[in-house]
Amino acid sequence: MQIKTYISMAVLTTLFLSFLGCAMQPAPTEELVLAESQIEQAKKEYSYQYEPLLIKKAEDKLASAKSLLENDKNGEAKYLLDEAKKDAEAATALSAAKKSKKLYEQSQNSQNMFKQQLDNQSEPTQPGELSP
Amino acid sequence: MTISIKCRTMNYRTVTSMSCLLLIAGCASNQAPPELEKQKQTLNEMENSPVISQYAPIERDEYSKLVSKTEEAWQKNKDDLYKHNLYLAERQADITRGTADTKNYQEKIRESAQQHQVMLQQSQEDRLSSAKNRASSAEDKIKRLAQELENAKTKKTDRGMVLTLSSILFESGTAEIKPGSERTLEKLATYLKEYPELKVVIEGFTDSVGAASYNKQLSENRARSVMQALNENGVDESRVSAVGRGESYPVTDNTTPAGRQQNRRVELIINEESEAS
Repeated sequence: MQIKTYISMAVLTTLFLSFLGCAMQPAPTEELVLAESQIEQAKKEYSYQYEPLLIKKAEDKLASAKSLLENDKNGEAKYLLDEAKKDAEAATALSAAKKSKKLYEQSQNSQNMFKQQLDNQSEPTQPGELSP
Repeated sequence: MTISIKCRTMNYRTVTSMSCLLLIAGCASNQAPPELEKQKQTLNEMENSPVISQYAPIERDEYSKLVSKTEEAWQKNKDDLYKHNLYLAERQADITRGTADTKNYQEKIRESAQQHQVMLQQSQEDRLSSAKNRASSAEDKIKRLAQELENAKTKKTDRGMVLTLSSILFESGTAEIKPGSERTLEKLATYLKEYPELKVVIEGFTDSVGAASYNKQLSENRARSVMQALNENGVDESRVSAVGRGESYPVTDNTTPAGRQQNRRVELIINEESEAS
């Protein structure tokens, strides 16, 4: 009898503690703020133009995380917020690289045009051409 | 007896094969999933990349940490955490690559701008030195011409090189060139034909005897006579123009016959075509 009582008490305690554990997981407020600001940052830097899929993913995850938070599913929400933040960071970094590449190509083009201009200018002033 | 030995042999074989199978299965279960292997391989490549080492070492360290966390989650069979960490690691690889590429391109742009600046300076220096060469060569040519002509003087002015000819003489009160001056004009024409890049403005001057308006007209007619003589000697019309200055700009006073003689003159302003235009 006694053993049975002990077992049932242990089971109940475990269940209670695990329930308490779930309920006690803190809301990821910091992660929410970070994800939101990272997405804003990415948008400010026109990452949507270069990495639209990553930005979309980040926004979708942020929206899903918010509805999970309303249902107190803090653990799942935290995962999604971390991922959304990383998506936005990746979008910013990859689009910055694409922008820099474009600028580099433009600078190379203008450099080549300038060189060509110099070559064209130097042609008529060959040494000796003006001298008798 | 024989049967029991056979049975035992069978048992040994079965046990060995079973053990082998279990061992293989064990090994197989220790093999990381391909997506994790891929991340480890990417990390290895990034650790050996000089560009990443130079421009994104912090981002790569973060990536390394995430790959380790992913592996740990897989080893502990925490499936959700494994997938989550794997996703974060994949994005961190993007961040590392993006950061390194951005800085690398920015550096290249900086180098390219510096190169552009050097080329620009070089071209400006070249242009300056060629302009100087042109100017000095025009100056040389005109000085050489002055040496060949009698009674000719050169002077460097803002308007260009000025060649003053006092050996071109006119009949008094007319624009008709005296026969003795023809030789000078022929020499001048020959010289100008030799240097087709030279452009000439002929300016006529008189002394102060007579009315100013008359003198102005007379000086213009005299300048035109010189221009005509040059044209007749083969100098292209487009290279020569004539202006009458009258009694303005005397080189000396008009009180003595010698002074008046000096003021009755023809000046040639000579420039190189590119500078004159």
